[in-house]
Amino acid sequence: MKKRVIIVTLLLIFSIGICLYELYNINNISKESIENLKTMQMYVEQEDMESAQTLSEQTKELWDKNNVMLTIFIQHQYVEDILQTLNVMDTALNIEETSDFFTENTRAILQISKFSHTEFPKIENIL
Amino acid sequence: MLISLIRTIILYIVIIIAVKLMGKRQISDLQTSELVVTFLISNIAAIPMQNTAQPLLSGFIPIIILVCCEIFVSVLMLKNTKFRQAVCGRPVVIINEGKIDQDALKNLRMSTEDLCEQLRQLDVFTLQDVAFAIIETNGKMSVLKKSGKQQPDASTLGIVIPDNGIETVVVSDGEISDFSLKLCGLTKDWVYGIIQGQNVKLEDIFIMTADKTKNYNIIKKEVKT
Repeated sequence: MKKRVIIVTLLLIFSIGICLYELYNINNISKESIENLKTMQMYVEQEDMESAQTLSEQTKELWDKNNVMLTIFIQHQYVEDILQTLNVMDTALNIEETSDFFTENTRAILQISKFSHTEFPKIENIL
Repeated sequence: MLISLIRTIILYIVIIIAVKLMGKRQISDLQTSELVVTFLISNIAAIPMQNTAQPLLSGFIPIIILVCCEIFVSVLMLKNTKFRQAVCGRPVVIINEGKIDQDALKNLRMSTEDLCEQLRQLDVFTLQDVAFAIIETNGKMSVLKKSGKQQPDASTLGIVIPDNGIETVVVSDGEISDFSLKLCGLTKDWVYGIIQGQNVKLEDIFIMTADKTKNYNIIKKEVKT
């Protein structure tokens, strides 16, 4: 019995560790992405397309880099939807379609906020 | 499809480990809470097995947590009787000194047909034969017959039955079991001596049983023609 208790205690610690690691990463990625997206909006409003494009590339890279880690923890569909929106936004930025860019930018901010909010242990998520 | 196959194998291994951690028990012996946990684990595992868009971890974590809760609760139940009673309940006496406790039956939502059926399953066909009947916490019924209706055992009859110990399978399908030999205090040399004396090859033995008094029985493999 003692051996079993030790094993399950270790498993419990491992599970809690995984959950905390997931929360920490999602929080960081979401924060950084939303900041980037808002700055991008500002750059486009100031017609600084070059800086906006660089930031868009950085945001895409951030998601590509963390894609595997995110799909391990999150419903694959959520991650794919965000990646798709970021790609469409990047294309709109490259062809300087500002109205499309603003639409996709807002969509990406909403998707990422929703994505991070649904993962946090808030009372509305638990219930 | 290949993903489903790999996921199924991984989840199968996880479930085997989970069930092993929870301990060996037959379904009929499970407490209500244990039964619920077992069903929950199988249901949780089925979701990521079928839906490949769902992360596998979303199946692992609930399974791990359920197993942890189950083991922690069982440890607490061992240490604390009040906690055990709160989780599992108490055994309920439904027949006390030959008298049926109708209130207890009502509380258990047990009909007279259910009572008679369960008694019949325990080889009791007349209510008058029962001194005590108790519904255990796992829902099974235990019965003590009235003294005049109980079967006498060897000690009651004053008969001495020789103690042969447990009969174990010492050779199964041509393979010697060290565990079984140890259990009845025998050695491999004894087995080799017997099979040599019987003029049988070890690989030709289908089953060989023995007890601690060195009584044995050999069944050879059937020769296919």
